[in-house]
Amino acid sequence: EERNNQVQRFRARLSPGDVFIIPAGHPVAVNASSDLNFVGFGINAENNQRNFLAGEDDNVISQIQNPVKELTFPGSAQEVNRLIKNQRQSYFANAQPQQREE
Amino acid sequence: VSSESEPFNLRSRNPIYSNKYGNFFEITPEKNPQLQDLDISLNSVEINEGSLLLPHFNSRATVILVVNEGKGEVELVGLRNENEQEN
Repeated sequence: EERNNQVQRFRARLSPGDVFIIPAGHPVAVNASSDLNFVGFGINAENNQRNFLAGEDDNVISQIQNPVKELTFPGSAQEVNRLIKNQRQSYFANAQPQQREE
Repeated sequence: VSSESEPFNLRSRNPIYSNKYGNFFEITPEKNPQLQDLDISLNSVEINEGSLLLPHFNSRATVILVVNEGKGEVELVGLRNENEQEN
């Protein structure tokens, strides 16, 4: 039996009162278009670990060893490391498009 | 009764993640016997306007997010299994 798993993107606008489910193991990001406040109820929470895919702290991509990065990504390990270091914040970051200094 | 039944406040502890773009408060089952009985964690997240909670995933917990205040956009990545569409 051949399994053909494709990546699928789910997006939603959030307003007060909205509910959204984040299944375990699924990457998620939240962007605030105004000051945003939400609560989260985590079920099956014992020994849960939150793994970040960008930023400096708790970033699991930066924990991959260099030889493995070389094989995993098209760029070299140095290029991947340089790219990861670009985001100096952790957990929360500025989402405004940066104006390039001319 | 196996645990204390006093109410507790999510924001009485320091946020686990905090910078000028947002704050993330969390109480896990490891820190509270009432939550341990239910195997539930609670979090309260503030994201400032124009900021982003960086891409991440939870290793075990499925999270039910409820919006209190403000507007934003959530983006989730999943896998489409083509076998499911045959049903």
